[in-house]
Amino acid sequence: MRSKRSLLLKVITYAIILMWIIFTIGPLYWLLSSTFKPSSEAIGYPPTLFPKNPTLQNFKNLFTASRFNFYSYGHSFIIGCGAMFISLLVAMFAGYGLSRVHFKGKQIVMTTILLFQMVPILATLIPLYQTFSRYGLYNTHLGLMLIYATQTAPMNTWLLKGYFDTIPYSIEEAAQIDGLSRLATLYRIALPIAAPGLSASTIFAFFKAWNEYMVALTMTSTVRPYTVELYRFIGEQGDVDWSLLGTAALIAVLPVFILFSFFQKYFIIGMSGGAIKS
Amino acid sequence: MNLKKVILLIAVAALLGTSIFAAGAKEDVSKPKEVTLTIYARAYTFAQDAPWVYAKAELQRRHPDINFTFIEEGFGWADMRTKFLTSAAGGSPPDVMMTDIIWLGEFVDSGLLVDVTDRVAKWDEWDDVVDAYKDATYWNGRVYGTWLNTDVRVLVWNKDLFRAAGLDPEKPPKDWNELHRMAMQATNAPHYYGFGFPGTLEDESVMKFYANLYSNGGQILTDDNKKAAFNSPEGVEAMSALIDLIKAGATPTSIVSGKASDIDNGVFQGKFAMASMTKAYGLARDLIPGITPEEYKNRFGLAPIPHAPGGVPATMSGGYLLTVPTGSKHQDLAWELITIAAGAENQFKYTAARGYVPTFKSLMARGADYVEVDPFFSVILDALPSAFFRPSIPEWTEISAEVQNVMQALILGRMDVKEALDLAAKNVDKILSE
Amino acid sequence: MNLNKNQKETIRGYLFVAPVLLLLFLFSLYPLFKTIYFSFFDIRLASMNRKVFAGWKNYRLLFTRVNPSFFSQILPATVYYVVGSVAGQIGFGFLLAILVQQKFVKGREAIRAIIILPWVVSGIIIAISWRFMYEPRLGVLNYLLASMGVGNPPTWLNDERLVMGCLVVANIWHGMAFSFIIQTSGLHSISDEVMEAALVDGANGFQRLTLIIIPLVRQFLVLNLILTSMATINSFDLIFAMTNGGPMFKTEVISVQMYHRAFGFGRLGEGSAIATIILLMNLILTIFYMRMNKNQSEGGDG
Repeated sequence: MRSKRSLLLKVITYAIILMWIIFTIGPLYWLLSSTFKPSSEAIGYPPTLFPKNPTLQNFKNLFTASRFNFYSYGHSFIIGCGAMFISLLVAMFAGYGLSRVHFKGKQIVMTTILLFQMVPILATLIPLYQTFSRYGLYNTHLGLMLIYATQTAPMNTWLLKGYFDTIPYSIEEAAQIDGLSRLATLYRIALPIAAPGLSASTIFAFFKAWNEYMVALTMTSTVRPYTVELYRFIGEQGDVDWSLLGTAALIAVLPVFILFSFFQKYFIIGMSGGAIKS
Repeated sequence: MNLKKVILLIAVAALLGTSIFAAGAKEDVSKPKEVTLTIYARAYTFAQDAPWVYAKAELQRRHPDINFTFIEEGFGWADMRTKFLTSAAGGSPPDVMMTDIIWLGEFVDSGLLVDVTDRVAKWDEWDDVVDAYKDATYWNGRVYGTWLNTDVRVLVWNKDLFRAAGLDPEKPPKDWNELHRMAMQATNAPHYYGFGFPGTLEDESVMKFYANLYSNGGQILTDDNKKAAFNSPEGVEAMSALIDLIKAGATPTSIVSGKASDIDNGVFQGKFAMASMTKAYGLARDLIPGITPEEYKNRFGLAPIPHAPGGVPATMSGGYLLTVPTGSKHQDLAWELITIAAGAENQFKYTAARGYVPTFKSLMARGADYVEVDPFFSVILDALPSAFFRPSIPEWTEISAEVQNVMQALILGRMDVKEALDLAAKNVDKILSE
Repeated sequence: MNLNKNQKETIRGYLFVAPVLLLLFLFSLYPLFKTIYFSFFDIRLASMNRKVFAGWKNYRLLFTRVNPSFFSQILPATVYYVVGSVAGQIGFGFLLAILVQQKFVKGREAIRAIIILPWVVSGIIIAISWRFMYEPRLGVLNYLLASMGVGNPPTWLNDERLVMGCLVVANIWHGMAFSFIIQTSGLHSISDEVMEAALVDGANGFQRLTLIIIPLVRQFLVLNLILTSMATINSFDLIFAMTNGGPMFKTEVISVQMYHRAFGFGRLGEGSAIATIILLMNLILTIFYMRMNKNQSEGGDG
């Protein structure tokens, strides 16, 4: 009786997981398959599940004939890394301070920081644009880095605070008795222990910046990240050439998937240790 | 003392932060020999030699003492407007702006464009501009730019689909009744449909309605531009001519999210047998690489837009001016670039290659040269006398949006034509009375 | 300077949080105040220098406009999108987190890696690939329906009754991963002994879920609710690139409407007023969740 029920449980579990995996992969597969179809096949009726005449023509067209600017991936990468660095730096200090230093108004500061998470970025766009134009941050990597770092800093502060909270006081006290200053304790003792949490924040901050579109469209002219370039490309191509569009999209996604597959393990571990235990 | 270190670190960080801000503050005054010109234009204009590649080279040739850097920003129609307004709001507009003629009143009234009345007077090609087009560059008695091109909408049909439906590939429909019948006959859903028109919220969608409206003797606004006039009985018939195609199944309801470019491309890709559009030849060449004029002529046809039964031929015109935004730091050089880009020589190359319409008298006389490039150019030129312009008043964008809104409801069959147009008219009157 | 130990700690604490606060004040709070200020002016994107005080006019315009109407179009669209997305993301995230966590599941790491993938895909790319799936003529969905013999397949994004559902599905596809991660963390925090004890007690699956697991991971669920709700209300890219609010404003959620008024029509004052309303919605929702959480935990302790 019991084993029958647990077998049924197993079957259902696997079935649901499998269905979700198909659901997850489906759109990605559709994108992938279209990149290998000649454009006559991609827009022909009826659609084909597998490319009938697989071709690399789309890649060739994208690289040679189209006006797609591949530097945009470079801009995205620089901006992503910068935003990640700034966000992590400020979140690390704040997270440590909120976790380890007892001071008046701490609770208010913590809540305030979290509340910033709900500011819609669109609502701040025009004033930011004015400020940026005035101080020469318009169309710079730094400008976008600062905005994106602002977007992820609250969440990362909380994440890292949660992580620092799990470090037993005794370890740190021992370190301080050894004569290490507060900053040195943070650097030498707390950070290594909080490394998984740190890696989660890193990924979080990087991908937020990597994927953003609206701010980038408004704040850049020549250093446009790939999302803006891709959107411009849609505008230029319309629904003309799904396969070419799909190819450009795939090129944007693939390196990120590979990178992320390496780091996703730390991401889950990181989120699980840190995620806000208030 | 560790507290000191913390203070020190923060101080350094703050210093660094402010110095970054300070460093960003203007550095333009340094060398007059380095000039950066930013151009906002439709993305497709950068993809070919005319106008920009030629114009940039010529400007550089004329000023060997200046080292030019050109920043080219290409956009879709709606994004170009948004980006320009945003850039003006932030105080860093481009040096050259490709302004849709319908935005002219709005931009000028907002103080965004430089008055070039004195400059055009000194430009030797200005007298060559066709008078009607010259008039359109004026707003409140002053000139604010010159035409890159104008355009005119014509019917384009796919001869292969006509043949497949048993229709004579050389005989396009003349009026709405013929259009309806032939569109029905050419439909083979879901493979392809007889007639396509765009339904997204953009001006191009309602242009199809406006053309029908003028053909049927109606008009968009009253003569003084103070009230809506499109909800007249003529207007109801004009809109019904489009909506009936949907009801009959000759046009799919999915066009409700179809942009004009999707529909136009669809004719060349065999998704629609017919649609009315501009720059047909340019699209055909984009979509079918290496197509020859001969092939183009065999596979597609151009004709005037079908008119109302018993009505007059009518079509809509639009087009772009090249303008200098007020915030530009190099207004003289920007204007010089414009006069090269939009001069007759460049305009010939640009308009002929894309199937647009020139604005110079000297080019109008070169019909034979155009036909050499585009076999159907005479159809385009012949349609010019029946072309209408939309009023380029400041409220235009909002007015047209009201008509676009109800048009979507009509496409999806959620409203009655009369009721929909009355609702739009009510909203338009409200906007105009403010 | 003679400071006692407490005062020194306080200064030290503020020094630690100073950088993040500086960043937030400069790039979030200051522009936000400016936006709220703008919302009381008749101000246009094209002519920012000519602003006229307008009182509550911009707010009145939002609530009285006929097409799109706030109460019969924008608000329902927003609620549908937010509730659908949040429920779907957290519901499926929680369910899958539990299932994948089961001891007998093999290849857990690989499954997780796949499930999380959509999270790193940009909204623009999601829009491209899902529009491609929903395309009535070329899309794979109608192809599958046709091969199953469905004669009159739906037009998905072009059908105003289905379009919002289509967007919600695409958004769940994208955002579920984030909830999955948070819920997985939550389940990690429950010790195996507790789980097993529940099993031995003969608690069946459902009871185990409601009586033991949910109370233990409640903190994670609330956090998830807050973050996901805010992100969904503020989100814009996906709808913008997929439907741009259409057809017939069926997907004109409030953030898209804000964009259209402020940037499309250049009515910055109106756009700012809508932004302020979005902020208020976020605030109310957060307070509501926190209250709910507080009441729950007090009740649970009693």
